[in-house]
Amino acid sequence: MAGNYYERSLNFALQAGKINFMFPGSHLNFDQNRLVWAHSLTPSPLSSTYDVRLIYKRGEDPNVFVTNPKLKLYPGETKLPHVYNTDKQWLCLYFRKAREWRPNMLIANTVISWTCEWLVHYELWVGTGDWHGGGIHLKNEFNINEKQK
Amino acid sequence: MSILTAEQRKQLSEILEELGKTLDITKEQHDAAVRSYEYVAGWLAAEESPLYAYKPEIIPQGSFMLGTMTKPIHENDELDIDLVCRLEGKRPEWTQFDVKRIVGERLAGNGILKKLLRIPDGRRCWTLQYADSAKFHLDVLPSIVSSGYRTILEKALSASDMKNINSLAIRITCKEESNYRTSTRPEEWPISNPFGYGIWFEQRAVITFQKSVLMSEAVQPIPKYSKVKLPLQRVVQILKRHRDLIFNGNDDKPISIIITTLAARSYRQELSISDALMNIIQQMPNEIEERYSAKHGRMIKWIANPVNDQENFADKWADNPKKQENFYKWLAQVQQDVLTAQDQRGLYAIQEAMKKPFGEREITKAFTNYGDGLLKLREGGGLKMASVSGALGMVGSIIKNHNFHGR
Repeated sequence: MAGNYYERSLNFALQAGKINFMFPGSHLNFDQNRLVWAHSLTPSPLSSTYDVRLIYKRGEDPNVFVTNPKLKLYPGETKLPHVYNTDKQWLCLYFRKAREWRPNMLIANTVISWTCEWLVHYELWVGTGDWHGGGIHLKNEFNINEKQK
Repeated sequence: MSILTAEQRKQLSEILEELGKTLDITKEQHDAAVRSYEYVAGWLAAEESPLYAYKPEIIPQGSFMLGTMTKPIHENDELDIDLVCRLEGKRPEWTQFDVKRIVGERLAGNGILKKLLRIPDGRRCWTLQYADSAKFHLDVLPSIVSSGYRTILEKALSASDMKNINSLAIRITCKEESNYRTSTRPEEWPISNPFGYGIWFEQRAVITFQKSVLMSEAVQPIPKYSKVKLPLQRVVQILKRHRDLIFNGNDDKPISIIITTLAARSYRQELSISDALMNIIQQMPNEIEERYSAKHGRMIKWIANPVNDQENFADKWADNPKKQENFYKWLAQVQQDVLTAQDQRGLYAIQEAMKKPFGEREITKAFTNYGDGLLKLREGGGLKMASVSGALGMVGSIIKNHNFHGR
């Protein structure tokens, strides 16, 4: 599956260069097959600050985790919204099956900005109990047009 | 207390704007009130009305005119809409009592209005109590103006200077006046200047480069609903809501005219609601004067009516120290609540800090609308991410559309 667009993927030095340009001083390690980025994001001026870790392996989708702090839940909820795993704080940022992100896209302009957006909407979810960031709930994934808040 | 950055102040303003919108009356409520008093005005002005010759007109005053109405705390409580019933002159023999009586009799002469009319009349007003489902009542203040008043008012609005503000004063009736049943000369009757006050407020509220239509629109017989509010109007709404929550039903609460006047005096044309709010709550106490009162034999607090220096909006404080005490208690509380909210980090923490001071339902709605607004902005290609911090806003790289996935 990955091989289908392997040849069109941006090389990791280019991805890293853009990340470094936008987030100077952040932790960034990469070689030909793997890119790991760690940074503290403040997703809106009055937001808290979150440590995030992004891992991108060649041929796979980039995965983003909030490593600190432990995220709060809206009272009565047991899971975070739009995550693959609440304990790992592993974020669902885009619809993978629809290939909203492709390896020919710059991570800095896509996955990282979606991470910031996720964090703001997470903060609003903790306060209001509703997800205001739009997207697709798992149960609706075969009907992309049906967006659910 | 932390000093906020320009970006933080801007974001706080966006949240406060959402709060202001949530506190405001809806277009439906506004239009329903206007339709109701239009009907009343038509009835008073009909050819067979004894008031016909005096061209009766009903126009808003108070917060309905100023655009600072706020919803009541409880959804089922009523909005209180203040109106002036303006008569151009009267019969020479009519006293205050007669003017009040004749307006009342005319209202009672209409089958529908008769059922709404609250008996007995108020000190100065007739109240029309609409059905529970309408959730408002109209306070109609009978008054006498000189002929050609409309022209004088339009002129004052276009000149927007305060020089001839006294020519906008109206004469009203008041049951508590000793000459209520005797004096037939309006120049001896109690004076009020709601439209002069409105022009003063507008001049305080207007941001220099904007042409304001606040008053010229508000005093039309059928004013349009305005969704867009100036920062001062929003701050007054926010302060009144805070007052309502603290003093729910307490007669000694700080009155709206005091809050509105002090806020307008304190306002320094700040462009953002957060800057305006911070400044106003710090500045308000400095706008209260002390003047010697011969009656009390001591200095008393004085909050002058901006269009009548001899009228003290705080005139009750000297005899009822609870009112004065409550005002300062409220002010200290609102200062503390605003500082606590702005010191939080994390939108949920700010939201939590604002719940008690401004009301849980409205705050949740304000943050909900704020979140929905961010999504709409991103879908329209207008949301950006700043470099370094990753903060969303109006600077940085445009966020591409995508769908959050999963549960």
